[in-house]
Amino acid sequence: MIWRSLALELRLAYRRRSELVNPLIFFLMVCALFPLAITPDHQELQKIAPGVIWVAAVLATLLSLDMLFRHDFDEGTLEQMLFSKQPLYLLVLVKVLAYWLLTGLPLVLMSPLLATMFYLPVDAYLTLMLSLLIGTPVLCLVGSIAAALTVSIKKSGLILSLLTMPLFMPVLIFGSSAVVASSQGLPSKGQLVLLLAFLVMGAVFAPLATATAIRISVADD
Amino acid sequence: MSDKLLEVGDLCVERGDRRLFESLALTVATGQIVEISGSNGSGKTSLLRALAGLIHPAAGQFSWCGNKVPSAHSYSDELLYIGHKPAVSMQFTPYENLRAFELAQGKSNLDEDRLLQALSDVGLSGYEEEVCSRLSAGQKRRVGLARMRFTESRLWLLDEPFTAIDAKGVTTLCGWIDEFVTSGGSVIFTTHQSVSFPNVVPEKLNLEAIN
Repeated sequence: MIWRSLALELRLAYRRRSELVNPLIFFLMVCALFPLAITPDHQELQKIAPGVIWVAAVLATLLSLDMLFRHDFDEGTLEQMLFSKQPLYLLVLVKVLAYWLLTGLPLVLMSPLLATMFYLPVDAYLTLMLSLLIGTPVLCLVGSIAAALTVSIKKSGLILSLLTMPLFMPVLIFGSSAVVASSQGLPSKGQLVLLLAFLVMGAVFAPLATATAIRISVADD
Repeated sequence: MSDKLLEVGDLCVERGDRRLFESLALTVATGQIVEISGSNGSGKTSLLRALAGLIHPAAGQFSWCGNKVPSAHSYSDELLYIGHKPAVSMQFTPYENLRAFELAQGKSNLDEDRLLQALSDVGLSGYEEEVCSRLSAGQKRRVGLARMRFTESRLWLLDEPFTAIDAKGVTTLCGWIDEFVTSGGSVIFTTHQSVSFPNVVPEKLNLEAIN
């Protein structure tokens, strides 16, 4: 049942792919512009790489977050979710998972390419990928709460950023510091485990909050 | 045929600072149709949305099948709600839309024949593979209304279901509602048109008369 719902969600998201490609292009562009704007120097680039890549990933997620529930809300399928015989918690989880597969996962897969561009040591490649692999779903989960809360507001861009930014900070800090540590040859396990803890907590609690936020937004319509 | 399905008492709904109605009582039994009328802004949609649990009423008691329930959420999975928004994903084909609805009904095995039958019932055969954004307004509504053909809900809440539907379609819809009600279902609907059903006479509730 979950797989069928996921397959349908993915198909729907794929039909709206032009909106999903946007953040990916943004991510690549920001990362490509930094070396051009600052310096082509290997050591300098290596130093800023973890920060730049992670900040770009956070902003790219923020860029597409508004789309998570927007169409469903406008078309009325979001309110129909409340009448489903399946628990809202599960539906939200499936939706966020589909969204991550199409926006977060491409960032993860693209990251080794960027790591090469920034002359990151090969040892840090894996850490970068891992940190993004664990970190971006946390961003999607936490962001889904804010996206659901603001979906009934027509121009929600600013308030959405204000709501999500403070919550994204811990992920950004531990994500980039994991990559910094491993590019200096230090262990990065601690940061990654913390990120993993965020992910577990997010997967358990965020859909609860998002489900409530959906009820509030639908009532506000 | 007089089992009470939904009983609402002392219902009060507010939108913003405006109190739409208060101490409203409404009962719908199995095999009964309730027709809600009233001018624009009298609170028909809000009433249906409150009954569906989409908005929180300021006050009100709900009983479902004779048992008191804390709120409308307790029975929301027994409802078919058709609102002003067509509840159709524009990037999906009509077929995929119904597929999604079938999953929401908790059915995992696909009943292909029934699904295609529902689409042909609403006059959309030949459009199964067309993306909904390319259909006309009436056809989009029809995709949403096709849910009436294979839902297992016990109570239908229909908010102006005849909007954008042609005269022949209205007769067909009334036939479906009648068929559902005579087989033990219940319907609460709002409309500005005068409609009649072959076998059932609807209870009328005028929201203006209450206030």
